[in-house]
Amino acid sequence: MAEQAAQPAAMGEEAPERAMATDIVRRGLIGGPVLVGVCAGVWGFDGLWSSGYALGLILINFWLAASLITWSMRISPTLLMAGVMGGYFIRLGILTGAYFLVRNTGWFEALPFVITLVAAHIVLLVWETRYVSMSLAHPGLKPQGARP
Amino acid sequence: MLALISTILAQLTGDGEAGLSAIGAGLGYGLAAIGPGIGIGIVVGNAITAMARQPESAGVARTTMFLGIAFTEALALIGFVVFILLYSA
Repeated sequence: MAEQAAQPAAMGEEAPERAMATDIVRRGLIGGPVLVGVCAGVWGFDGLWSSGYALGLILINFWLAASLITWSMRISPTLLMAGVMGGYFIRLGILTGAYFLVRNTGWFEALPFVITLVAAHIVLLVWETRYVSMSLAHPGLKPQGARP
Repeated sequence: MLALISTILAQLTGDGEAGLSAIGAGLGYGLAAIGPGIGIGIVVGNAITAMARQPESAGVARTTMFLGIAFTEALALIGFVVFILLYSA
């Protein structure tokens, strides 16, 4: 009985998704400016701001997703299901709200915004996947220097 | 729900053809969000099953789950992109 009660807390002790989200944000801050620079080169200052805005939204999206999983996992696996599904809805709502917030401003360009939104999300995920460990000893990121 | 909210927001600012385009965009966004929603449900449900069966491998299940959620969410983002492109056209 005591083991059963301790199980959810034990599962919530480590937070591999938080480590991965932090790593994704770090990589986004390193690689993102390249994409923002390309958009700035094509669309000028409007492209720069729109692309930077989209990059910021994507990084916040990753961080928020990981934080919700870590928080809900600490409480119970049941709340994890609710947290992830609610979080999905909330994050899509935030993206929609963020778009409606700036769509009529003078600096907003739709094309660099959507290109950065999709490209940054997919590229950062694929980039991160290469550094993910799937061993029981190291859930989350691979230890530095480990062979693939 | 998202489609409804988007459509209402769009209708507040549009008229005529623009309004129809906004309704299409909102409906498209809502429909595009259904698939990833089901996918995320499957991913999380199976991850919880794996964690319940083998609590010692919870870390690996969570890592896989986070990646699965993020990849599935890319589909919803593509739906969002289509919404923006239709709506701003």
